[in-house]
Amino acid sequence: MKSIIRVVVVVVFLTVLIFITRAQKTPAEMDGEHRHQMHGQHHGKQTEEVLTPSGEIIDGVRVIKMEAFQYGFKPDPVAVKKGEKVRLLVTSTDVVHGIMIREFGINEKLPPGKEVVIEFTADKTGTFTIHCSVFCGSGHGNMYGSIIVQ
Amino acid sequence: MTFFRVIWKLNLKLYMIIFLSLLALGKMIQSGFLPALPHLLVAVGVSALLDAVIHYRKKRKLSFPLSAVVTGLLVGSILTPDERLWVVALAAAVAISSKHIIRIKGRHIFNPAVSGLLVASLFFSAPLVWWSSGNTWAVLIFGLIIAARFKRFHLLLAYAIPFALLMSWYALKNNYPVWPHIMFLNFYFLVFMVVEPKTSPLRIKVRTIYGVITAGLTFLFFHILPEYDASILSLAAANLAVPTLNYRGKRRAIRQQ
Repeated sequence: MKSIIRVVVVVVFLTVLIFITRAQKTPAEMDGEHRHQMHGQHHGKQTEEVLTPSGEIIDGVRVIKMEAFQYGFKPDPVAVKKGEKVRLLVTSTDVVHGIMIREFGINEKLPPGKEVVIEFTADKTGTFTIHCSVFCGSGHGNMYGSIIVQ
Repeated sequence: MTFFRVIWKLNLKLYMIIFLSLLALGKMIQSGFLPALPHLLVAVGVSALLDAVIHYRKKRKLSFPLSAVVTGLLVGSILTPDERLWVVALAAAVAISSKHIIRIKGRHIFNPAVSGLLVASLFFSAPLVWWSSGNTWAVLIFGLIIAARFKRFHLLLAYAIPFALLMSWYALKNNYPVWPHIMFLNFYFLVFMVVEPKTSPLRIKVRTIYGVITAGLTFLFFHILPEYDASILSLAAANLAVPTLNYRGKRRAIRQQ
């Protein structure tokens, strides 16, 4: 009897596991937005297009309002021109997040509802990943965006 | 059923290898095998090879480096999949080297994966994204199996309860939603890293204290060093306290006798 219970438990467990693994979708997939699933796959395509720069120029600085949420960034991608001074005004709309753009030395905590100002000069071209640097829940591994400097 | 008895009798390292591989595989089936798979293979390959070589030089005999495979799987699954390959390899190498170099009384101090990830994160700004940790239910089921098989429920709870309480207090104090902040609890970290037997205390009571300390440190680092991964930092700090905790636990046990 014990053996039968074990078999049933293992079969149910594996079925649930396979079901969860195959059925689980990222929030972006669910709301129909285009988003990358694993960082590297997404970037090649983006760099081929010339995108309209995000935000607006105020006093010679490109100012871009951004939102961080479980589990993504908006807008995504962010587009800027090489050489521009960029000011990101980032607000988390739900829980504590982080924003990390390694190539520009950015790593800030984002408390919910509070606008965090980040300034940098986009001095290199390319597509760079925006990571969430604070573990923010089960979808943390899917939370990233990109910034395109062209 | 001999098959299930055999499975149940597997050692912790084999359990970890099976569960970590299943989680990584599940995520790769969902999101694609590139670029994650090469990173995972490099991390596992470098760890296993280096550990086998060091082991051979020390003992003059070949053995399959199961624990190094676990380390490699952890390093490869926590570092971002778009990390530079040489950083992945370096993190794996540092992890295994720390296991063999930083030791007290025959036991390594740091969870090997933690030391590799710390170096990658602190010196090379490598983001730690825990990419294969997203399937919370699967992680929880694996955690329960490990906790039941290796009698680690007390440690899981000793970490989870204080962490949940601290995060609730933090959320209430700042008027943030409570439940999503409680779910900052990184089950993957808890199940696969905190329970590591070689770097956690020997006695149950001391191990419980260790769980509470690690939870407190995670919360503390979340506040004071938000730019680094609080879980990894807290485990490194808690690992440092283990020799002292073991010593005090032993003295108290002797006194009670």
